[in-house]
Amino acid sequence: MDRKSFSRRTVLLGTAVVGAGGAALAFTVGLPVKTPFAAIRGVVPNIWVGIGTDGIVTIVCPAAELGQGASTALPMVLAEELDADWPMVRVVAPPFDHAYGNPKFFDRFVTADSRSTAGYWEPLRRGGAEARAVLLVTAARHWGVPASDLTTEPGVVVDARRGRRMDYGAIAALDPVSPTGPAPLKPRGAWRLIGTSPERLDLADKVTGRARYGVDVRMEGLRIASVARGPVPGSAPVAVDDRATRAVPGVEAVVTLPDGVAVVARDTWAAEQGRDALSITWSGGGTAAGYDSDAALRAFAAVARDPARRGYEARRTGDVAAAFAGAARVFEAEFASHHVAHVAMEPMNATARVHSIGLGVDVVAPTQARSLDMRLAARAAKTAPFMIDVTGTLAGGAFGRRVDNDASRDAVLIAKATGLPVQVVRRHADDLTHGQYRPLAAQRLRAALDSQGRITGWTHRIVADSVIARLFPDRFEAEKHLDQTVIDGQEHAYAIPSQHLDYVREVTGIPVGFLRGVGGGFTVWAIECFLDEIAAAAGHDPLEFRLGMLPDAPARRVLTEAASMAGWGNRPSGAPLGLACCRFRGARIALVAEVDVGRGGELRVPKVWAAVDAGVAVHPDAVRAQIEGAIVMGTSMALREAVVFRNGVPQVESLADYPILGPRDAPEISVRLIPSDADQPAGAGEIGVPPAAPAIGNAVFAATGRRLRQLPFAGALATPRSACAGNAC
Amino acid sequence: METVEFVANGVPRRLEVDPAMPLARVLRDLLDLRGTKVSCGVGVCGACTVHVDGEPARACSTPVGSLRGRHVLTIEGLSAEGDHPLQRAWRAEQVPQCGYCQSGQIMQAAALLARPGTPDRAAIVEHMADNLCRCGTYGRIVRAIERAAAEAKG
Repeated sequence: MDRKSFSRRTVLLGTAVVGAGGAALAFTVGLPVKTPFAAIRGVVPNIWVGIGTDGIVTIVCPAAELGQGASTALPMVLAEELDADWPMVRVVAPPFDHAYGNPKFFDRFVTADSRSTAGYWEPLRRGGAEARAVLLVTAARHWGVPASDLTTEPGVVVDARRGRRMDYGAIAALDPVSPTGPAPLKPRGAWRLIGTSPERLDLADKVTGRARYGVDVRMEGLRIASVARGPVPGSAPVAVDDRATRAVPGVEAVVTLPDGVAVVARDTWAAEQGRDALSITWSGGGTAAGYDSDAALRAFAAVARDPARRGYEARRTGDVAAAFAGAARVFEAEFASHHVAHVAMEPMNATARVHSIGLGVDVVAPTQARSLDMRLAARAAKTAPFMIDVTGTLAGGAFGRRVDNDASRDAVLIAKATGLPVQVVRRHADDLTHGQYRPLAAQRLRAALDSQGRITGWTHRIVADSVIARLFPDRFEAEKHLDQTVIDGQEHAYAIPSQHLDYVREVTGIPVGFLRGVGGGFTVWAIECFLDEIAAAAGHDPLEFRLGMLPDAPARRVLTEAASMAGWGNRPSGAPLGLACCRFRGARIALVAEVDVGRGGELRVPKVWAAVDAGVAVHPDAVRAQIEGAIVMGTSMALREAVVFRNGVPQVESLADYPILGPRDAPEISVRLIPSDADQPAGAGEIGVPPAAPAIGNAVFAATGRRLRQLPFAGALATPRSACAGNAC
Repeated sequence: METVEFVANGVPRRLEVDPAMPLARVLRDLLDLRGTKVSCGVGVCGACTVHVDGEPARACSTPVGSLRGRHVLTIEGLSAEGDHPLQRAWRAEQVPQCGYCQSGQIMQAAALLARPGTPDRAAIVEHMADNLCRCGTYGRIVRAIERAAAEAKG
């Protein structure tokens, strides 16, 4: 049964039906759905929208607001079809019912992977169209005219023939009528809202200090907990001396967790003072105990060269052996990339409160995945998933870090142990020392060229640990060691007849996680720099070389556009410009970066141009903002970010050791969204990250003649060229 | 515990508190002024910026004991109606993404605009140099400050 096939039925509640917990219940074919419309006096045509007699239109936004603008863009989609008057729109979050889940995430509550606008596009359009149909037939019956005589303008039903109008609020006071038959969707030419950029609904609170994030949650009797963790991933507390901790004023409890020790106090300062006063003996930690980043890169590079190792085969086309055997020229390159961290500005946190009766726990957290918080917290607390109710809040940055929102598990365990409502707040630095890092990776690419200088054969192996193997081991096994998030970007769009792409997973014991752009953050860097290298050696212009191999028309358009924005053909030769492009989640992007290399090898990126085809851009300014921000992040990671491990211990203690790009060094960025042929939104939240490193790397080559084969680039140019060995530069 | 008296957003406060407690924690956990955010906690990101006697200060690294008799201004106190020229400019340029750093950004910028003269772009960037934003809104922050400066200075 497809709960979202509203074209077959429309649910009418009339004035509210109040169900359990204050949420209204809607009845689709036989199954109740909890909705957030209990307080609405008016009409609730379906689970997505309620219209009050006061004219207020309340729309559900099922995605988390992470700063990407979901809480404005998603309601805009429904409001368009409903023909709502935008200033009358209010937005609410749904209760935890999978009727509101993302169809592109198996109906789960997950806000990630650039999939929210694309995933909810269909259900929100249909929800809005059907709600509009209810208003039309209700007004039609009231007036005694055929519904086909009526139209809408924003917020009002119009009977042009007889010169009368009724606003939605007035219709909401009537007995609602159910339409027969499906409600048509608005043709693109009639859009009034989609493609405009009204002021995002969360901005007023965000500029006045009224916005409430997970860390701002407060409730009666709330305690704050700070958790100490061991030096190496997998360390467990063996002996805990908490005498000094218990003497800190405000500390109320000390709770030992499987992998940490929590200090529970009446305020954050007391909790942190208490944590710093703990004296703990830690076990040595598991697989990660001896982990060394540089040794791992060397070991992974050896695996990348080893044909006897087999992994997941992502693509095998044509005849790679023949292509290389018959090649006029063969190219080969190796690429190495360190771990990077998310550095979301809001520290990781979650709040949990146990019900006074029974085993239930309420969790409130700035999570990207209410569904995963529920499942993993239930497992940690050894209770059933339906016992955990998860409410989301605004997130102060997420970037993939809050999908596996491990603070929720801490909070549930501590709340159950103490019986107190507790908010676990990690120190910001904890996410550098105990984070979920983008996997470290070694890559090896080979290309065979024929006598005309065309690439006929291409191999690409990625060696890295797997996030899916850590989080969903059964799925990893079932899919024969595929981790799509690690190999993202490897499946490029270039027309090369014989290809072999594969991925070999190496186990490190390091907690690796989803980080904006996922594998694209290093795969696209390798591919686009390697292509550039081939182009240069074969005497091709990097732009023309790519255009000649890209059957994907939108990809060619963004390349041409970005090059035009940067004046690619008009710059003197030796201009420090670099080009890169990729596809990601149905969108296409091309970047041109300009670099400035100082006398001592200091690398700066003063300017970046970006052309993007993001499909239907519901809120174009929000899309541009995502591209701008992702480019800043990608630039920061390419230039200077690395979490380096020695003996299992990350060599960073705080943000002072992990300098993300600031205003002085952020590039000036020009973004152009090009008109798209697509009839639905593509994913725009991450695509700015993958092309940043290669555009910069290719610009460095243009400026200096040197290829940088390791991420980050920091310090690479300070080394005189003669001092580089082999692959290093 | 000691008695510490200071003024927060024009309201005199008298607290029995550990003088080492950072101002940010006093604001957030004792005075229910949660608009000031704590991010890095070590004074390098600027998210916690407030004004002490009119000058920007990092509340996460300012012990409350150092504030005796002084005036603290937080984002909540910047404008009663939330329509300081910077707040209006921030909305016009649609600056915030996640928004977590933006209280600190606006407070840092407000101190600049309170000074005489109109800052040029280089001066703006330099003044804002230690306010980090992981969402990467830097370009819009600068444009918003320029917009507010143009409006405020006429």
